[in-house]
Amino acid sequence: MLTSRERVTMAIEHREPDVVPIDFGGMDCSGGIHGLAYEKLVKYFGLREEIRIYDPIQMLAAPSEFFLKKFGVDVVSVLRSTPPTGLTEQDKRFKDYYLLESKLKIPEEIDITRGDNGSEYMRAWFSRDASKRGTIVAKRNPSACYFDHLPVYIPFKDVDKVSDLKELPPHHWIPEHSDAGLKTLRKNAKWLCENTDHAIFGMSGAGIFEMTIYLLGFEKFFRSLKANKEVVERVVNLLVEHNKIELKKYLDAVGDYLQIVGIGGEDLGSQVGPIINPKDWRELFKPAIKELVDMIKSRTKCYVMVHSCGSIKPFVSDFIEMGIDIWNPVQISAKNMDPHELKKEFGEDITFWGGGSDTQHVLPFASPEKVKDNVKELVEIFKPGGGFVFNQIHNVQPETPPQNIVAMFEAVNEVRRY
Amino acid sequence: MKADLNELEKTIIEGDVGKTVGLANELLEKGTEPRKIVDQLRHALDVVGKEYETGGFFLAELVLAGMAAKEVMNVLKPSLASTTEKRTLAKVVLCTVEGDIHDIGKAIVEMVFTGAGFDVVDLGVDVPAAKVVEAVKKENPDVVALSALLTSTMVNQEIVINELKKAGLRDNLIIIIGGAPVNEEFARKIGADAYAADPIEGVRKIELLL
Repeated sequence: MLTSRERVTMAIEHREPDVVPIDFGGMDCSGGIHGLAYEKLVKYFGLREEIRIYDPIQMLAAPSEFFLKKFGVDVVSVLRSTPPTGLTEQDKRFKDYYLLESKLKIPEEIDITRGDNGSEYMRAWFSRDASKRGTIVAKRNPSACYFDHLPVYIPFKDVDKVSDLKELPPHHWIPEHSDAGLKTLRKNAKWLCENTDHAIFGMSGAGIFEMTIYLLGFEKFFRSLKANKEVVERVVNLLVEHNKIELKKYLDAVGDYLQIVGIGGEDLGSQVGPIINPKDWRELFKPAIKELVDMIKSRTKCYVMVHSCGSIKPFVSDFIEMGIDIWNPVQISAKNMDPHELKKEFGEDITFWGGGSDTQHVLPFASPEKVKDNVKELVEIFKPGGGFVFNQIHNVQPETPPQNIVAMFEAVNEVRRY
Repeated sequence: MKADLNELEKTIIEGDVGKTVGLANELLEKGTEPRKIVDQLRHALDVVGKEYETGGFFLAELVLAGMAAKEVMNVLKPSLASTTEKRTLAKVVLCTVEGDIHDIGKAIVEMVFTGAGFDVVDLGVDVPAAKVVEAVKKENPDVVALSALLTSTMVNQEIVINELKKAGLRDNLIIIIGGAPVNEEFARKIGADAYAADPIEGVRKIELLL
């Protein structure tokens, strides 16, 4: 039997391993589970676990070893807590946080304050520049399950001139690595690599297209595309230059120990189609993203994954041309994303990491039997010839019943053998 | 005049927001009836909608056309107010439902609906059902349009419909829903009158139901 690392590697190389590899929480931005859904899952199995949130914006929790074994999971995130960086240290660095009626744990350094009417505001605790740590970067309304940045933090919303775009503002999705943080991460990565046989994923956080929109806001972005392209070009330039510096540090720290490095988010599509004309994307964004791909390829032996949500079929051949090995999350619930067509057209040239269960319509709402049917159908479509790592399409949402999560993994385990 | 109206339509389709305002003002100065300009806007949005549905246009073009049309409507509003014709096609109360603070989709709907000649009352985001009921009582709209982006909040679209029923207001309304996780099947299940995948489809469906 293959190790998890061998299995994932074979799949990415378009060779059929012994079984389809499974990811659950390894791709730590979109392949995981909301803390409230995880809490229900933990209770369902009668376990007593602290629900530790590693992503305070999306409120994601890392599945414990129990679930990795139970569900046959092959991939872990480089952020996963390990003995050296340690349970003891981690205990000290988490604090209580109440989300709706649930008690969770969040990293101690996360700066959340309560505002009017019970809303909460998150500040830029992550910024290397201490003077910017007071910036409000996200908000959670009292009844919401997440923090969100778009309604409250659009740093370049009012910019009209290129000369106003001098430097990037702090943003939780623009990486700012500290030496101490990278040292800890390296220790973590080394331990995972040498003491487990999991495939290890690391999200570099280097993203261009989606971040351009977050910084300008949709309205300014679209207006600028039409009438003031230099503004878009300048933001792209700021992002690529910053990301090259941060990515180099990240790869130098952990590149030897990871098998997969993620870039993005590069969400290019909405539910129904591309956000912008692919022709414009190729002119303004593709070259910058290619620089990041080339850097990963030249500095490491890692496979490159791009995270891009939505109806994005017109871009997949570009991903392949750029040397990207893996595409996540493969949102087959969006328009024009038929899994048969995707596999037929692109299956030999790019690995599908995702697409395994419809997290918008089926996983949260259907019966466990229907969840199983959905998963089995999708696995049978994507698995031939390798080039497939099973993951549900995006993070398991808070309202998803634990029975459905169990059904999903039962189904994939029933049909994963080659 | 026809050439000028065609030129206006072209700039809406091209999403040239700056140029449309100038053209609209010129048309009014030349004595063009505001209603004719609104009809041209509607035609432009129909063209954009069809291109969007068939993949010729993308979200960027849809939003820019909506912005341009809305700017023209802002120019026309004073002139429309002084006519004796029915000023708007319909009055719409619009919101993102409780628990959901996403407003991008709703903002695009607001632009396109306004550009299409609807009178839109935008209640904002994270709107409890009780506030929608209160707005319906106050504004007496023809349509209630509900947006939700999350699987965890789309259920609140059904709650709004149920609260409107309890208040005895449901039967006099067209209720239309939209947002990434919702679809026709969900709209039927919760008792909405329509679902729209994009705002221009929303305009068409509302007109069919009016």
